[in-house]
Amino acid sequence: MVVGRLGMNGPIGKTFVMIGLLCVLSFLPLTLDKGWAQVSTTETSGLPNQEGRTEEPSYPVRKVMVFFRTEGMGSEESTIFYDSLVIFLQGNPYNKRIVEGLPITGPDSLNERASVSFRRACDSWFLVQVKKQADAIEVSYQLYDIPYESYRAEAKYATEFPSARDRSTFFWKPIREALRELPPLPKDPVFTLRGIPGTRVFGLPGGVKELNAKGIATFAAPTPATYTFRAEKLGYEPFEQQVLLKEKGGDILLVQRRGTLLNLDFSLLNGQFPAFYMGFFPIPNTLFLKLGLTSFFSGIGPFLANDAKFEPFVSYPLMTVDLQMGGYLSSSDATVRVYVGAGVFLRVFYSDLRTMLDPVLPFGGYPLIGVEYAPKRGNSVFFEYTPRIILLDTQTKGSVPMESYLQTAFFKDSLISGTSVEELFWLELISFRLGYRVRL
Amino acid sequence: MRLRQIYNSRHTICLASRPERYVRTRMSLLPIDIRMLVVFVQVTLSLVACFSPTFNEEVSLASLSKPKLNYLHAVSTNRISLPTTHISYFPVPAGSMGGFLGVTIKDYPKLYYLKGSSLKGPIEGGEPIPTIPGLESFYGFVLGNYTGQPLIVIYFPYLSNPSIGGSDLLVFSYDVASSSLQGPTIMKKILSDLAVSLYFSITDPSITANDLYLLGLQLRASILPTEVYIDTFILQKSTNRYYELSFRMDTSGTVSFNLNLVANRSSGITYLEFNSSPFSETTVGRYFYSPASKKSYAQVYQQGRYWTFYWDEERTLREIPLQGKVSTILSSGDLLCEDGRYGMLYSSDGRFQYKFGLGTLSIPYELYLNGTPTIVFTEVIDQRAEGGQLFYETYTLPTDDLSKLKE
Repeated sequence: MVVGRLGMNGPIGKTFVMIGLLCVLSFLPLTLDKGWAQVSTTETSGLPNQEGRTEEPSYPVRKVMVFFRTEGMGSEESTIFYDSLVIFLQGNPYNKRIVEGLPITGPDSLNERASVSFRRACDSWFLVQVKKQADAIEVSYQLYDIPYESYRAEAKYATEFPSARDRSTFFWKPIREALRELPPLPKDPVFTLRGIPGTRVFGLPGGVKELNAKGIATFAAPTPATYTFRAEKLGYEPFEQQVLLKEKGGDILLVQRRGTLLNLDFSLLNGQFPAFYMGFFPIPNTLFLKLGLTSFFSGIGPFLANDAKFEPFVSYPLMTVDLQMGGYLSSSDATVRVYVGAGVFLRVFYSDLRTMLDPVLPFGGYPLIGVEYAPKRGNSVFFEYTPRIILLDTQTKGSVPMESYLQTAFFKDSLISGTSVEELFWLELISFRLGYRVRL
Repeated sequence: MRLRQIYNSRHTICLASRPERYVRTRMSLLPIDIRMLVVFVQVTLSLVACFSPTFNEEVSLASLSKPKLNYLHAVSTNRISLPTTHISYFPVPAGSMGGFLGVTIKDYPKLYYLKGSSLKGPIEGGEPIPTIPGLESFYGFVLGNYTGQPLIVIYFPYLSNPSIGGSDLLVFSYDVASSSLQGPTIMKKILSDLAVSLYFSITDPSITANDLYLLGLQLRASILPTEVYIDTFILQKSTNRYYELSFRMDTSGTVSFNLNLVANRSSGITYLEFNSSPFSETTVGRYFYSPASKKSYAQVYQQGRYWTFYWDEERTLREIPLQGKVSTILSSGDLLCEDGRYGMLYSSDGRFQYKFGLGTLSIPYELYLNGTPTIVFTEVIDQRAEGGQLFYETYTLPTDDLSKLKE
């Protein structure tokens, strides 16, 4: 295949190459801006949520901080007693986790003990006091439940001085049994998401939720807390929402707006000739069909390329009718959206004789790649590149090579934007639209 | 209560540290807004207003008609230095014979012969040929043995007035055997050598060339390729009488009086007198005569447009609203006009018949080829600005088939 010359003068050609390079470099990172990216999915909170199943609430393990005070004991003896207490309590069968107090004696006030406990992620505390009197020993203890703001156990007992064996078998048993009085923490309440079936919700505990066929998904979440989630559904506007979840469960209604069904493009082909396109979205926001008209009746002349014949405005009896189909690769609420597609077009020549298809280059097609910039997630400006392949009517062929014949005819006063391919097609590499897009 | 607050706030903090979470991520190299702005400014400033669409109305119109024409041949100028304007090509309607190329360079005429990619000549004219707005500097017509020694008759309207002098009718020839352009083989002054010598010296010897003014001249094809008709429209300045005299010239340069066209239409009357006439001794116009309809036509270029008049046996001057410039009066009597990118056919009395696309095509003349009236079309393709050549392609179409071009 012989591809003809794409004529670009030296400095101008270099300029275009630089521009193209900059454009590519500028657009390249756009695809990396994914908006919501999952940082880690290696662990979950243990709240599986499959379609149709109700979320099971979790029972967080209770953690008890143990403060210990003695009277009449030396420090060594006191430590022995404390260690035996902690070891005995850690062997409790009630699923309570024991954390040593720091400091062991703990603060004096109730609030400070709670504060110290929180710093070690504990939700309750024991205060055990041992008073040694001759051969007798008196033990008093308090078990405080911080969330419920109440003492769960408070007792006192006295025995003869325990041996090491006693300390590891029964001496601390009343205290360990007091752990039974510590109820489980409240369950995480269950919330129900209601919306369009198939909607995927990101950012809530338990991983990505997908609404089932009834438009329902449930999840359990520790409360009270504020969560920010994002809902996405093909054909609907994605949205982010912040909710304050209180202790009791409830419904969260996803207010989902259907995506764009129509849009209008006001643009300039090659920055020169006005074009008007109307787009219809069979899949809102995503898949589009467009019908466009580009008029060459009045346009900006190629004055930058031809200083000698300055014509700010030019007119040609030509119009193109375009049909495009394509889809967006980016989310509809992204500031920058990339889309790709393909198009076909007819070149309508309205001569004084009659309106007809251009007898030289009647119709063609093109791939398209576009990027639109919508800083406020609504209307946007866009740039669309559409390198065109146009069928060359072979009846126009004469003895002169068509490539040079048409280049002479088309580009007398401007830069060359295309070339013929095997005298079968005309390849127009410089073809783009710049414009403003209105979402309806 | 304070404990509850502490607990709640602590719990919320714990949520934030859960391993599964979603956060916004962004490229940190350059804000996207700035990148977009840079791209748009670059594209807008660098590309906008640099390109024409891949469309040329003239090429499209010509391509409507060209498939219906008969391709004859193509020639090129082989990279010679020529002016960008005032070039006329007169194709020889045979095989690969090429044609004559008339050029006006700095008001002086030059003649070349193009055959294939070869170029013969130039032969330079001796008189300045100023450009007359709206009218060509010269007219040409080919005759003779097209494959052996084609001739071209060239008429320079501006040289017809005696006050300027010079020969206004020249004949050149191209000898195929020797590949040489020759001439001028014949040089004539229309008024003195033809009108006075061949007509007025016999009918009214008192009339001199100084009393005459050539308003227009038509080079008309004969059914014989070895001769051409020279139809003249002459004003006798002293009496405001208008004469229409037709002469015949053959390839040897012999010119003979053919007809007084006025007398041919209305017996016994040899000249015209118009009560109110747009023609004067300063008018430079174009003249046509149709032997088929016996009507005469004159075009003058005034106020930026052509004004067309005709008359017939009633000898009344009538204006007809033709669009554009008359290319030729066809052998059928119809008027073939060119207006920019379109060709138009009018009946002999000026009724519009149809329009067709010409675009880059032009119509130099109608000739008889093997006895068949045939319209000759040429298309110029000028690639000199791109370092290429000047191409001329020649097409023919029998006059009877002209309606095929109708859309």
